[in-house]
Amino acid sequence: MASPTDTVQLNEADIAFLLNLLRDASGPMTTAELVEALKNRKAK
Amino acid sequence: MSTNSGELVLAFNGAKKLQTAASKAFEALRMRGAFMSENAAIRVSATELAEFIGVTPAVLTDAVAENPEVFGVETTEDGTVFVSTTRDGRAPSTMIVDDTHTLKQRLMTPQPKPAPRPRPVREVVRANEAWATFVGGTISDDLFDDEEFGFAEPAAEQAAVVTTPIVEETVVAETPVVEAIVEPVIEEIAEVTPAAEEEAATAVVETTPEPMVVEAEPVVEDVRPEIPVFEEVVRQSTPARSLGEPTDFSDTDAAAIAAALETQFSHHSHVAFFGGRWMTTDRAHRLSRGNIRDIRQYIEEQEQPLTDEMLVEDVLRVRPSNPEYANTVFGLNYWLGRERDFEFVGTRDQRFWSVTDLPALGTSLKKPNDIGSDYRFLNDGVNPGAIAHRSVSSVDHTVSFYEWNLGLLPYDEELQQLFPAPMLPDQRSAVFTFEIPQSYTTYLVELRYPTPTRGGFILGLDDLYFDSLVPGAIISISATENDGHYKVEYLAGDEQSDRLLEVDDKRPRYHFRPTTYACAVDRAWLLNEDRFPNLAGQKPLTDRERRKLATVLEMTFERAGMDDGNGGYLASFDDLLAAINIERPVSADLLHNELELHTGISGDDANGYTYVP
Repeated sequence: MASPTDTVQLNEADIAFLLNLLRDASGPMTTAELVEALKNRKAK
Repeated sequence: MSTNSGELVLAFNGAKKLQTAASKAFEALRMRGAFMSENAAIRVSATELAEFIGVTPAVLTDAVAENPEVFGVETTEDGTVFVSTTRDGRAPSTMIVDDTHTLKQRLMTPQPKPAPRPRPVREVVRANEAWATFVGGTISDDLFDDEEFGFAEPAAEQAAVVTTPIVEETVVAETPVVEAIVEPVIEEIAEVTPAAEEEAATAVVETTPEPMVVEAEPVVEDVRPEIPVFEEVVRQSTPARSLGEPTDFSDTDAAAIAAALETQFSHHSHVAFFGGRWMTTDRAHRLSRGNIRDIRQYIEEQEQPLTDEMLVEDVLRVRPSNPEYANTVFGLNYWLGRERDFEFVGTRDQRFWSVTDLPALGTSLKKPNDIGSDYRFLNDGVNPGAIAHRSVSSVDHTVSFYEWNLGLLPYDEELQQLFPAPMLPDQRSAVFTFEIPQSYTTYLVELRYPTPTRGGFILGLDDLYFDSLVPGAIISISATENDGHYKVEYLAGDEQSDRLLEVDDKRPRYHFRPTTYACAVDRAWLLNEDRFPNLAGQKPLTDRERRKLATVLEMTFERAGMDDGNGGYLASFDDLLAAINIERPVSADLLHNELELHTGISGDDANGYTYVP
């Protein structure tokens, strides 16, 4: 788990997750939406 | 033969009686065909002809038979016998008309459909299976290269490298004798790159424990049916690697994640990022060269920057009700951002686009670069990185003469906290809309962001200032939810008349003009004739004089000060501040600093300052 103070690094799995997210979206997504999706990924 | 008169004279064979009959028959036929062409057959039934020339049919038949070169005989199906000849005395021959290649036929007969050209065998682009069905866990080996994720067509070299070891593997496993077919492939690979060769060799070593089997005797006819198997073998043998565990960001700061996205994800080759919005590049609406030309022409026709939504609706004809509207707006921003001739001059919420040779907004009295140089002092002691943009909701400002004359606002620290930072790293200016509720008007203004050598300022308020305000007016600029739209209000006051300072348009002189205004003013900044009578008829300073602040200050003492009786000029700080801002923008701090530094000036705020030339 990344600490709140750490510099965030996106790994290959995160990039893949984001790409799939963008590809499935019906339109442009905002940065806030991507951040929210990353934060809630575990819960899903 | 023919005579001089043109009459045709023929010599007929046979007895005298038959010659006479033949001659009469020919004359009769020739009269019948007097208007026929020379080669046309003239036909008359034998019975009628014999009757006409007064001989028996038998005599006529004999006469015709004696002269076959002159007469022809035709018998129809019903038994009627016709005697025929031509105008030039020849038996008509059956003419075979060759119409197999006439012009008419060539024009009217369609060409046969050409046989289809052989099509080149297209290389099938295979999406990486690992991505097509990716659910998290593993993925193909070439994941993070440029041709990753199965979007791009694989390079020839890569295809060659991938398939080579498989060929070898297939040979080993099923047909151990394919040297004749396999060899050219191996040679081709060897020519690609040394790296490819190395990689191929490595793969062969990995997948063929006994490579010597390839040396076996070739049996070519058994090999061809085995080739389709290669595809399957490729898929089975492509090594996959784990993506690793997804990072848990549930407790991570959202701002840190957003920063990581912009630094690590926005430059990805398959990601389109603009203004805090994201899409995959293949889904962002593409602009044709014609679209880009039309957009440029439209902006030039309107003579002002236009928002992305205006351009999408007016030029691309996509309405907000269209399901593709959002994608089109995003695509327009993303692709125009890659065009050299277009300049983004908007904000995150109101995205204006301009073209390179569009006339600048605002005053034409002074060049923007010169104005920026005048405001250079605004950069002193300000750390741009420490400014909290959009952190205040409203700013009050008193308009100086310099600002009023040029329609400006200084982009000082207060206004920097009100306005957003540049959206793009290299953005030089931004266009905002200023709504004036008191006059029901909206102005387009341009913010020139500060540079290391020039201060920032806002241009384009000329009309508002001249129509409604005077120097010394107090305005309030309020932010709205839209970071590109602001409301500007001024304090209304009782209607007043005064003789206020202006610059004569016809000749560059200061003069006082009777003016009526209805706005509240800060009287410390009001420049009327009672306060500064010496300014009337004065010439504005030249650019060279204005450049040096000490010179401007000295001139201000002479214009605004009073004679102290000792050859010097005495002036209050308020008068000096208001009067020095006629020529160039000077803040109170900067003026204080200059008053202290100047060796010929003495005094303080309470007792006023004295300048002795």
